[in-house]
Amino acid sequence: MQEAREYAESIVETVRQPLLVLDADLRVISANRCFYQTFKVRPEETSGQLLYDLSNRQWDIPKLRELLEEIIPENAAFDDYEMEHEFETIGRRIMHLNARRIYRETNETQMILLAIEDVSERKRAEEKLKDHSERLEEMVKERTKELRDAQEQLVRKEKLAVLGQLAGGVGHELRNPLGVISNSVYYLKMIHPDADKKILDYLETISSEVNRSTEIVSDLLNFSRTKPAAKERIEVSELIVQVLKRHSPSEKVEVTTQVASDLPLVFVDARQIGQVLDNLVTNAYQVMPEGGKLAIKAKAEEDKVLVSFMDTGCGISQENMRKLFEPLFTTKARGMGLGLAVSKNLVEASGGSIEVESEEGKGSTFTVILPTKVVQE
Amino acid sequence: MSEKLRILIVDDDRRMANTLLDIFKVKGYLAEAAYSGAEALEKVEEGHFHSVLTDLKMPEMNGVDLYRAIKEIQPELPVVFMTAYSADDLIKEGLEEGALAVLTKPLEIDLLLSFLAALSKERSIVIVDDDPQFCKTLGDILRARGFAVTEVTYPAGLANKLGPDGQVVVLDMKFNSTSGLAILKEIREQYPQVPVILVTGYREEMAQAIEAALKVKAYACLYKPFQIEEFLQVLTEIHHRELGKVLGQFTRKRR
Repeated sequence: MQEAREYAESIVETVRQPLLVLDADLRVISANRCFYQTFKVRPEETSGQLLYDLSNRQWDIPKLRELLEEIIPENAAFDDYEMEHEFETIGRRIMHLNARRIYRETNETQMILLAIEDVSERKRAEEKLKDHSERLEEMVKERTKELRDAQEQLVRKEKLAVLGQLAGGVGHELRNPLGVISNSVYYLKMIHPDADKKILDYLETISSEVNRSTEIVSDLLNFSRTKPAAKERIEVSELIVQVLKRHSPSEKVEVTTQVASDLPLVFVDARQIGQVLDNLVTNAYQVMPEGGKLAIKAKAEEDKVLVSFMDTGCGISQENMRKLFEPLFTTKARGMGLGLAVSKNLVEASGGSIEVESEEGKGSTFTVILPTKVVQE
Repeated sequence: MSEKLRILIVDDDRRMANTLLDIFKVKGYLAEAAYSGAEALEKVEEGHFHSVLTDLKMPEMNGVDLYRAIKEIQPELPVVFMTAYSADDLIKEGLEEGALAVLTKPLEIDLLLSFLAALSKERSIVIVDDDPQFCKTLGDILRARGFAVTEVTYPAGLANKLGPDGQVVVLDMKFNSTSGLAILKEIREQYPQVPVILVTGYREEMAQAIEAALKVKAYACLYKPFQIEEFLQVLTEIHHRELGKVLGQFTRKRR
């Protein structure tokens, strides 16, 4: 009997987890060293005490009562019962409780063996791990997006470079024959001013098609940005006036301009930026075939001048928004999809940038941001 | 200019040269075509041309090299480049050499024709100096070189006597009744663009007035007595600049 008791106690003492042995009234019969150390309880005030009374009633925990008074009487054993409690002495702890009801035949009494595993550290580590893995996931996502963006940028640049070379070569070579055709038509029109109307019409057609081809070639060449920006200080209002002079809208489009009176001069390539504004105005007219409003505004912001073109056209879908400035992207039936790509290049060559906001079905606003600072190159 | 304008067109693309040739001939100019730089140079050496219109990119001798060679023979000859290549280094080189303009193919024929019309115009000069001897001697030299010359010794109301364009004013800086600067300002009010060359015998005394005059866009100031060659060169520069303007070339001040 004595031997068995010593055997049991030595097991309890050896286990490196807090252990309590309680009698049927939940008084402590014995506790192991680990229990005392972990929960900073003194052995002399433990034995024979009601568990709930231990350490100034710190152990009077509702969940513990639930386990000992409701679950154990019914189940005889229970594993991994999680309990969280704020101890006055040792702070917040998360514990896993394992309890066994043991029947002692010798004196026909019951005992409860209660193992209290302190999992606070583990829980904290788990939380941390979870946090880390979430952060990691986010970082991976971010990095992936960066990589994808970089790749898209690279593809765009590559596309630009190849297209640029091709454009340079083909465009220039085309200008020679176009030049000869245009001279020839000029000659024919000149020496036959009284020719048949049909003939004159056809000559006119050739003329205008040559002009169109020349424009396409110019777009291609601008696109390959063969000409460096020749920057000068100019008035934005003058640029806008010139652009509107070149593009008379259909009667259906109502154009309003609102240019701040005290705008500083911008420092850009007048011809190239003029061409960008041309493009934006042309696009605006084209997205409003049934009519609408085009509001052109210019204002100063820090050392920049912002020129915006707001149309009431069909707007741009999210999907198309991403590809908007990509070369060869177009939604038009006729057109190479170079206009905005060229515009972006030209604006950037002058040290500016171009932005767009759009709502599908309501319209778009393109804003050209031009520098005012004079930069010597 | 009473004689017909003689234009030399140079392009290794024969069709380009020939179509231009046909157009110019119909318009009443004496045009000739050359299909290489070497051929063009021979023609310049033989005959007197009033202008050369040349392609930039040609095999063997390019347009800029041709222009350099032409300047050895006839330095004041107005040369215009045409090119299909908008990003060529040759363009910059050509303009730095003093070409009037670089035109991009296909050419705007109307622009070229208005250039030729401007080139055909008699060059007229108004000499404003209270010294009649100066007026007469300079006037005679210029008349002998084909200029239409007006001599003005009493500058009062001068601005009203000028035409709207096509003239160069030679203006003395010192008068008894008024100053050259005052006259210049009067001219500028009516004709902001008319080229004015200042002349004076009083370099130190007039220094301030000259500086002020250059600010109101006097083209240059020459100090008496000056070399006629120097004077003629300034006139050529002004002429070329005005012709360049017709071709849409932005003003480049070279002096």
